[in-house]
Amino acid sequence: MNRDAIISCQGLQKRYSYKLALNGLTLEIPRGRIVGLLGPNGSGKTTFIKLVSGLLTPTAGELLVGGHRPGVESKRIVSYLPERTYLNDWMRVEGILEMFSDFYPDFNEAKARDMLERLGINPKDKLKTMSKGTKEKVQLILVMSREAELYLLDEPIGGVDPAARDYILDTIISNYSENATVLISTHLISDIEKVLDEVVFIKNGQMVLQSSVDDIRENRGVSVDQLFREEFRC
Amino acid sequence: MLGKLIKYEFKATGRLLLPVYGALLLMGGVVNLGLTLQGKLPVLKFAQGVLIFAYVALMVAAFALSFFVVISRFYKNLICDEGYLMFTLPVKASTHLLAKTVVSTVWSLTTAAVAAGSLLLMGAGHGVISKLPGALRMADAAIKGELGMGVSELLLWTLFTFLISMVMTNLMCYLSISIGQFGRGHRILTSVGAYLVLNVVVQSISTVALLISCLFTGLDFFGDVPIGQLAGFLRMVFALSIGLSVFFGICFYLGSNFILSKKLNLE
Repeated sequence: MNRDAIISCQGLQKRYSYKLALNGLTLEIPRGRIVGLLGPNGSGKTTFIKLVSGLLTPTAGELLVGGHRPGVESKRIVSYLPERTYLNDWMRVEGILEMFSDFYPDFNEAKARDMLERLGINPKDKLKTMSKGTKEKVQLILVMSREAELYLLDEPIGGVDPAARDYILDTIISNYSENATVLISTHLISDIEKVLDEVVFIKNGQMVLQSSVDDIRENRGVSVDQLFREEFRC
Repeated sequence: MLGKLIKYEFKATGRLLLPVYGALLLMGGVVNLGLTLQGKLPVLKFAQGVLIFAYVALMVAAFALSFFVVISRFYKNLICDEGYLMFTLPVKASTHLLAKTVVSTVWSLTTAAVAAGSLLLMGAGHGVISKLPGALRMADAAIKGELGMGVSELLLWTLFTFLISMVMTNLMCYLSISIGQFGRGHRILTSVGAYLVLNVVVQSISTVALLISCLFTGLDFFGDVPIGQLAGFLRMVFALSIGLSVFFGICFYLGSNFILSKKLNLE
């Protein structure tokens, strides 16, 4: 497997008692690219991301993240934004800032405070009192304030209004480290297409396509959104 | 990293438990005050019963709450949504488990110490503390006559057994909750089921162990223990109880560690 790729997997399988979520997935995600992990609901996107972030253990196959099996070393270089809010409800914002600073040497607290201030979020506010949308923004700021090698964003714009979507995409583009990879999993293609360098289509737990966005547009003459609709027609 | 995790554990649990400890100590003081005032205002005698009842209720609540806070913290912080944050920190699962075990043990011991302190506070100034050595001497003579063992030895055995079993119970709950994460959509139910099964296993093994010990010492498991052998029998039961608690505690810890390190499947 290519140890220069930020993510490298071969024959990756994840079986639950009720379902085979990943069925022999083989792919490589290069460094320094914004990659879209695209597929319909239940195709295995979240399962793959959770395996890369170390929240699940594979049933079979090989997976390397930054040259390491998912573990303490890979978690140091990966910044993960899940679909759900994972913050300790009882904490204040400054508490969670302190926690990120404590555990992640690459966390840029000044940058995070600046972004929070621009959004009008008071660090002394309790997370419990915030709306779901505000908590999601706090989470996004925490994740993007890390100078990580890999950002894993699981459905970052699902369930938010169009203005918030633009804000989120702008935050992602203007804050990730230059040589880092951003892997965004989503089924909202048309919104995200403009920021992507590369796409991976995933279906029934397997990769069906990996291509640069330029290649799709120039050689196939379609947008990614159109290709997606063709590929995953019901 | 362990130190940092322990810091956040204490922050998260202390904010709930410290006020309870404060209330318990305060209540001890209030009862003490009640006893003092009662001497000067006999009409307050009726309130004594109410105060004592409230005090006992608060004591029971303190122990129950201390247990609940520690167990629910494990569930909420590792198996629920917060687990997505905790298990993506660059920290081994075993370190998470160790941090929670250390903190829950400290809280279990602190609850017992605060309860004792509160009792002393309740009796201070009413001659309870000055009368204590005399009362202990009387109890010592009485218990030695019945059991062949002094009161201080009996108290020490009881205290030690109680504290170790508190820690073992915490670890049994941790393992039950770790097993519970396999119960997709029914995590709490699976945890409760696992707890009941583990309880049955612990009780069964303990009974068998006691039976075997009786066989070895020549005591009749089903009959009465002769008076002369009572002290020895008690020491054996206590030692066995402590030994088994330590053994089970280690097994539960290793089990939780294995599941969280190798079989993590956060929903």
